[in-house]
Amino acid sequence: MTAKVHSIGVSNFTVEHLTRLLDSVEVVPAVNQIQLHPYFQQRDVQAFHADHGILTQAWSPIGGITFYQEGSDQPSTLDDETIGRIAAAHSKTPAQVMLRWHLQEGRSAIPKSTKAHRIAENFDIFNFELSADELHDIDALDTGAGGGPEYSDDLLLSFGVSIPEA
Amino acid sequence: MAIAGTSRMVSSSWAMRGEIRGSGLVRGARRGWVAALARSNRWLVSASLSCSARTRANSTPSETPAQVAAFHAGVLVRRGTVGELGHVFPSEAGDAPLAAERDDAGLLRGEACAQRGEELLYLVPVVHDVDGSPGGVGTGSPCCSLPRRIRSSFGLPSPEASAAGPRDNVRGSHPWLAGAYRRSMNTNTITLNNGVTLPAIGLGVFQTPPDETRSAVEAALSVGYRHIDTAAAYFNEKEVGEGLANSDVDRAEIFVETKIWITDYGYDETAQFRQERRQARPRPARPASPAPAPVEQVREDAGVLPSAGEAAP
Repeated sequence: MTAKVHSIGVSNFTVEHLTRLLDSVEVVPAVNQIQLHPYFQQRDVQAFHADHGILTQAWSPIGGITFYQEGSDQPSTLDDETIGRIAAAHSKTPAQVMLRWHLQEGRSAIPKSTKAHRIAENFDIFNFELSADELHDIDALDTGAGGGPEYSDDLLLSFGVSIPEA
Repeated sequence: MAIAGTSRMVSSSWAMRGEIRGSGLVRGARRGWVAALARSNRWLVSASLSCSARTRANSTPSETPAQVAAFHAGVLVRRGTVGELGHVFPSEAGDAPLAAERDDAGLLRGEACAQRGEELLYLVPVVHDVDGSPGGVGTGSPCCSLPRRIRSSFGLPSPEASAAGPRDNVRGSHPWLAGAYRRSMNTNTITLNNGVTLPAIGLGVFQTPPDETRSAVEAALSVGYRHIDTAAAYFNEKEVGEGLANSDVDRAEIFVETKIWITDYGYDETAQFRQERRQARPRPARPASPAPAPVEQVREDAGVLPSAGEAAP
């Protein structure tokens, strides 16, 4: 049988997780997929990635977790004034601006949608360019607070699954 | 090896032509000779770096400068400001943040065409083999992988005029480095640290119901996506596969990213898990939380599964 796993990565690893991992393995993960959007930029993790050649891959890249969660009291990235202003300047949507921001800052992003027109919209980002100032302005939106659970070891333990040493 | 310190230290460690002004902190990579110039407040680099260390075209990242042969490191930034994340931006409109000089072309994997505003977080001296191979920059044959626009703006000869083809010794011999380089802004491709290329934008199918996954995948492929991100815990891997199969796009072009569930952690378990996925066996118990636990992501080709012999542990 031919093996066809080409790359291995991790997701939701913190700097602590990555440090522990790199201390014990030879293969540096190709990717760490983390929650990353303008309101939650995880700069410590990004900096660690940069130091170690790990690609930052953003889940919830347009901040969906800020608006699709019921009861969330976080403001929505889609309604953000700064993002809206930049979007208007480029005749693009806020989602496209955010994805373009990821692209220009060297990240991979995996926007989720089930709607064909949204799927197309999310891919229509290769024909405009954000300026340095615009990137800066989006960088400045970081609140340091993400949506969803904390990714601690407790999350794993809560499933009652013992993880093999492998 | 680690390089750390100020630009002054760099200039003493690395033979310099030109100048570096400012107080750019040079951070060493964990392995290898890469130094990322970033995280200073403001700095100016207008130079090519000529490194006296020795390199070979096939040297490995773990080799220290002392072990690698003479190479030119790339021209870096002219005038820049560093953003909060350590991104380096040109400070003046129209300033090309990256510039190549004659005989130093082919920097950043040929992407010395960083445009205004492009993040330069991963500035590194880019190795060009000078002494190690015929046709290198040291023999008078310039590297020619720069875009024509950039070449002409710096008075470089056209690619056709060059005896040497585009050089790619960085990507070839230092694959883990390649992922740290900036890609050209209007492409969808990122090179990972193992040399594999990943389409930057992928379709996410987290929480996409199985019966909607197929059409979403097909819609994505039809508008140019070549990367789908799923997971065992999303319960739609099978439908992702069906969407791929329904598409006219060659499977070899498509990067599928998935995640192993924690019940399948382990070398053999993961291989077995992939086999089960393929056979559409019952799924593992649905996680209590929709949030993915730290898991491995794997890429697999359609219909071909990892084996214990070849899959990475």
